[in-house]
Amino acid sequence: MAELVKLMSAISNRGRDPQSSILDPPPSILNPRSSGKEYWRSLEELADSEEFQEALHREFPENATEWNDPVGRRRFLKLMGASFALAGLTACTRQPTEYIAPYVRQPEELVPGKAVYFATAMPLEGFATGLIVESHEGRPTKIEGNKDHPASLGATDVFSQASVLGLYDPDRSQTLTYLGDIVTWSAFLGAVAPAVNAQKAMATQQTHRAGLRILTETVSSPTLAYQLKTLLATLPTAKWHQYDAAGRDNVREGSRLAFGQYANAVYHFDKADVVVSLDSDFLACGPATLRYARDFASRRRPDNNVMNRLYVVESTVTNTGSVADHRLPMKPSEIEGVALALASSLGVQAASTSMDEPRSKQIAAIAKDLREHRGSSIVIAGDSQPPVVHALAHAMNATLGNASNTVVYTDPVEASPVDGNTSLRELVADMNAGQVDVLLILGGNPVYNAPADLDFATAIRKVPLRIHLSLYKDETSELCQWHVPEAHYLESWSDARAYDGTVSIIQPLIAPLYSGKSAHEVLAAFLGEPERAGYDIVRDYWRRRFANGGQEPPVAAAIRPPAETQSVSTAPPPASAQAQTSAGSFEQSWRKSLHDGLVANTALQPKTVAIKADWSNVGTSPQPPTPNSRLCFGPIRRFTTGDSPTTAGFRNCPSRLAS
Amino acid sequence: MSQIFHRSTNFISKVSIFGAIFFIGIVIYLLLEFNRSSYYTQAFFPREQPVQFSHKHHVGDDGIDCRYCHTTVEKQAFAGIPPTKTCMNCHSQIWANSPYLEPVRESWRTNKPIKWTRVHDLPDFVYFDHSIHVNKGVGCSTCHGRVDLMPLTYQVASLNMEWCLECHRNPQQFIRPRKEVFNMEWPPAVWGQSDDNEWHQDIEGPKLVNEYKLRNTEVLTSCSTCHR
Repeated sequence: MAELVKLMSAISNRGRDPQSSILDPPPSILNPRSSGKEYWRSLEELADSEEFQEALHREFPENATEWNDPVGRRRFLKLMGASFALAGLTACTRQPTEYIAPYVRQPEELVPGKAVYFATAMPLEGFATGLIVESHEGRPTKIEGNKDHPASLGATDVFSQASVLGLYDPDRSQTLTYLGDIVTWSAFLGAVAPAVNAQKAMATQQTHRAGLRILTETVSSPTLAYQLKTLLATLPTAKWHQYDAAGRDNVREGSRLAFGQYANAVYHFDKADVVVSLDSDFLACGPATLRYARDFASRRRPDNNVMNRLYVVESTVTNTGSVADHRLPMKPSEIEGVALALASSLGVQAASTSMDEPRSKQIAAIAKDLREHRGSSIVIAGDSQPPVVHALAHAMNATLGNASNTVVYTDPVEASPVDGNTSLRELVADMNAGQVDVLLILGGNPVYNAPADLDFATAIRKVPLRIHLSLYKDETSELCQWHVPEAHYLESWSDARAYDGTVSIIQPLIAPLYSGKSAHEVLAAFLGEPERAGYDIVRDYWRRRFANGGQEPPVAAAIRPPAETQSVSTAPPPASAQAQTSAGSFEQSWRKSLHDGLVANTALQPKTVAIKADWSNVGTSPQPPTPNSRLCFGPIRRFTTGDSPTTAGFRNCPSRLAS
Repeated sequence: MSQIFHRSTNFISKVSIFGAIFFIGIVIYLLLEFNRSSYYTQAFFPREQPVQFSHKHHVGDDGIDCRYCHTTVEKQAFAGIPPTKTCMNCHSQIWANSPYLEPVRESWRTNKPIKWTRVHDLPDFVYFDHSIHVNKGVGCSTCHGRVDLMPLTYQVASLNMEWCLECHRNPQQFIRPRKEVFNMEWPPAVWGQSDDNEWHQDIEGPKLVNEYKLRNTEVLTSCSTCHR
């Protein structure tokens, strides 16, 4: 009875499911109200219960209902199979109409389809490598080394190879922003001018100690250094700081420790019979690695009578270690001790350390080999070794008579060598003390890579006006009100020095893709020369420098009172025959420098530096208590500090040893 | 109970089985012919150009050499489309006010290129180099036809692969002396080097193939020669 009641109520309540599928019977069968007389074959059908609907649904062949399943595996495979089978049909169309847009005025010597080659240079951590860049219809496509450039000799490293893709990197910063909003370059100039004027007013009143701070990476560019020095002369409250996350501070400080002044060491591996590397990966790292690898290899040919011999003391696996004749792997903390022991056995005044038996035998053998090759050996210390190891290496080279034979000292390549860590520390202290009004960061990402204990991110927030110029929008850009997209070296004019001081003019291969600005152009805005093109800045510097006999022109305060500017512009142009010939000869030298990829006779002259008598009094680095594990920090060779990790080019370039 | 199908359907079924084979064959044949047809290849269809440039006038009437405009044809893969400057060399003096040349003058004024429609559009997966063909004695008119008779430029070849291979298999049938490459009226009515003053392709062709050191047929028809 109850069953019947349920059935009857179901019959009275029956309504159609609005989401009926195509496999459901047509409504005319099951919804008799729509079509005259009612027929039914069972009570269940009449009741139209859910169970009945389900049974009806499943009545037809198995899995047929899966056609209605939105994500069925079979359906997916069928559709994908059909897609593959029919994919070829897309070829059955006529090709779209193509257009040819020739030049209106074809540039001279430009043949469509034929590459043109230009000499330029890539600055990496301040040091230049000469390059020849292939250009197709105005677009740089491939980079190779410049045979005439001393740091390249026709070779390139992964950084240069990858940099051409860095130019086209879609992740590059593409817009000038103020507080995250896209603004114009003229708006930036409008913000800089009052800030500079305020600084000038403060400088004359001498009331306020705060001022402009400029933070750059290592600068070897003569033009940029000249601009910076001009700015410092113009604004007495301004200061220039330099910091590189993986810079050559230890190398610089080592030379200062040994000689009492900064000096740049140039090694001549082609003259060395015996080379001792104290954790130096000179065949794969550093600004002169391409040159050093070539020079080293030239003495490694068995055809020659005498092959050179290489001892490597190191704590990681490096390229240099892999070609060593004698490799001495050891803990990082032991290398300094080895350097000391080697120095004292060579007769250098140094605190001696105790060594265990096998190690002291090895050191004695190395010392004997070095003594037998006085004047034709090299002791070189690695960039990550503390300054005292560098000083020891300099002292050993001096004692062995290598200095000015296989090791030549010159003035520093850096325009203004400083200890980057100290420089950054001073800047952070100034920022914390509220002594910085304007902070101009030209390249680099200090918020990310400054030492953590400095807490750069907190300090920078105390600066009222912060400006960051960089290729990428990074952590530092986030914390600066102004972010200026930097022009890639392939799209801006500049100059830079190689490891031996040779200057290359960096000429662009293409106009800035994202209207980026070079450091020269940003500094020009601070020097009261807004809208001055990088080309004019660099060329003007070199015109004055050539006129000055190749020496750096005297620095003068750039921002003059308006009256004086007037008088300068109305002065009659120099029309003497001598001035004209000098202009002509400048044009010649300039063109030759651009063509050759280097400015002739700019390599730094060798100079004699004497080891300070009391250098060894500074003592050795504090020895850590011997723990069970040691941590060794260093830049990854393929990425340096990871400034452009997204650059696809790096993934195309092999790492010669496991990274 | 009667049969569903009448006996006569046997005949229909037999005909349709054999008919299907012919039908499929005809469809394939028609598809191939369609692929060769000028409807599909666009051969003999003049393209619409921004300027009504007439090769007939410039080459046929004025006698301007191909290389005056297509400057890189002997040295590069791309024959080169002349810059607006080349047009203006003459047309700043003659026909300087012609309304037909307004697009050229506009390009010259505004420094915007004239956007020509490409006539010979090879598929992008084919490598083609003009210079090697021109320097090995393949004349312009061999592929481009009598351009000197074309008021509006059109392609005369299908640009199908079979058309390329026709010559790559038998270059001796098409090759001509290098100095005649730019001659539009090849083959000549009078040729002085043979006995009867006529050009004999079957005699001269193989000689030129040897003289110009053409690669053998295996190399010329290798896939990677064109599909690099």
